[in-house]
Amino acid sequence: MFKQNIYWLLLIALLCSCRREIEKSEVEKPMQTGNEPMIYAVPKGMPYPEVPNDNLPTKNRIALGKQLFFDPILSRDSTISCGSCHLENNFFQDNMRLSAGIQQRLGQRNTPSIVNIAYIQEFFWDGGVASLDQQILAPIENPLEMDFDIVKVVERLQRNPVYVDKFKQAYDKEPSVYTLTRAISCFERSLIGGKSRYDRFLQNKDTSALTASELHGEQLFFNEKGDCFHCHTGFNFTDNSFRNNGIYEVYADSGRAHITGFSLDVGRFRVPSLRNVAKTAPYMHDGSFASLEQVIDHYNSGGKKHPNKSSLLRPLGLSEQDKQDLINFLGSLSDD
Amino acid sequence: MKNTIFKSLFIAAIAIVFVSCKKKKEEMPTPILIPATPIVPIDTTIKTQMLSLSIANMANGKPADFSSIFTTSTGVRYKIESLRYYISNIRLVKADGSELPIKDKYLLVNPAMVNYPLGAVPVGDYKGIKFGVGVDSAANHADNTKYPTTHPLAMQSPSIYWSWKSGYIFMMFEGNCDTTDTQTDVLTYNQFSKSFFYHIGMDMLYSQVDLSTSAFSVGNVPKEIKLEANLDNFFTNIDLKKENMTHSMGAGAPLAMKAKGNIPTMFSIK
Repeated sequence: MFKQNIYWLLLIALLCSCRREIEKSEVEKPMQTGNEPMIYAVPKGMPYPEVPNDNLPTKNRIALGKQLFFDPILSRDSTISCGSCHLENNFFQDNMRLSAGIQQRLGQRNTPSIVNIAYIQEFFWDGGVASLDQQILAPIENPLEMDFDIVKVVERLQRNPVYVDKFKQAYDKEPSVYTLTRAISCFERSLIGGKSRYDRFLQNKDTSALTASELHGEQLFFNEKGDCFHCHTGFNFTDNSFRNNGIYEVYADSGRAHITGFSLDVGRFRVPSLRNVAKTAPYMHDGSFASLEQVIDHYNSGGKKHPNKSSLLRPLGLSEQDKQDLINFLGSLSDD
Repeated sequence: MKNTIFKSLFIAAIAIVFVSCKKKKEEMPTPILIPATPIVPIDTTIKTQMLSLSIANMANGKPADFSSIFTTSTGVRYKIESLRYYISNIRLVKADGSELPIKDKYLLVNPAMVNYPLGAVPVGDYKGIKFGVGVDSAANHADNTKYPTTHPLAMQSPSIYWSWKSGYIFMMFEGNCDTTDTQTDVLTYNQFSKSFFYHIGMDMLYSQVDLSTSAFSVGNVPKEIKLEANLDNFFTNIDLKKENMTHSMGAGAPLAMKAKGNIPTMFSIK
């Protein structure tokens, strides 16, 4: 009996010694409380977003990013934050045609919702920036937005003991351009939406989730008659391309050509996601369409003449009922 | 009987533990085998020496400071408020004509700084030096938020980066000038009435400087190459009176192209 116990004890000791060795090699320093890697909450039917390895989400990082997002410390005169235009309770946009920066300076393009920004690869209406981290620099330095200097923002944060402590807890580093941009992007990636009536219709195969008009609108959306789906495709209702949709004959804002310098890119802008579209008026890069009725009328007309206009645009011949059904269907894409 | 079962169980368990433990060790990197082909031994006779660039930014034969009034070749008076530019892709041209790249070296030049260390290079005779004014395409499109504060490619204050389109401004030359036909503009608060700015950037405006006929030797003491950048040549065929604003794109693109053509002619070794 005694012998058996000895064997068991030895065995347990051996197993323990082995495990201890593994743990030692994997964890170099004690983890800050609240900084254990977690996963973003992703609604059913949405893929898990691509997350950079150096910026896996943790409670501390998301909390720090959220605090920075809503802190006017980022603007020159400490009056506006990211959240001034990307309103928390309004799908992270502001329903304004154009938004005001510091000293009521009016911006040049419509504020998009940043819900599902985690799925975007090229940022802004013209796709001029290739990473979410780098995107964060632009509104801080834009003279019409925060009109500040990222180096000076970092200096402000370094003088703030509360922030110094929070950066330490989140990244084990000082406030810097690197950690500032990582924290905000870490928070922004957590803004994932995908719980609309249409999602329930798709997930549960529940036809009662949509009305007859909405169901007809869905058909129009996905068939050649309405022909919305060529560009507004996939789980986020965008093919992430840049297109000229013929809203002007002459574009005051050259759009993607402003980035590339190519005349073929004049008037091309991002194809936006249509999630929450009924709640995020006005529409287009300059907010020039106040309602979905105007948007549908525009596409139904085939748009204005422009050499770069997408060949998909053509008169659609939708009836008044068709248009209303499409609008009703778009209403089913709003998150609760 | 029971005892035997326990013993054999114990031995089996130990074996499993050992095997699993060993597997962990096997994941350690295996030593790299020395290839059969003979390796050229490190030549300890090759000596290296520290090399640096001193850069003098000049206009009208004088240092390009921010207080003097300078004149372009067409007779337009101007004052400088800011002059900064990147130098990258630096290569030394060896005696045999081959090039020795100074890797990962980016210089952010401004008139307040004179000496720019390039690191150690082999001693010997060189035919000259080549470099680009601006930032190479790879660095221009890399994530600029990742650099430590002191790195020339890190975000600067004031900024020398287009954050709305992700790219460095290769050369930022700003000031004010006299655009009157009679050159009779009066300085107000020490400035002429008209501002000018040349923001040269984007991959296609990365200009290459070839000074491969400016021979020099690196010997027993640290070597300093004296580079001069002459702003007079920046204005070749550029009429500051009319051509005084470019962001390198849109309507300013042709002027930026002109500047790109002029930039290589600014540089010489003294």
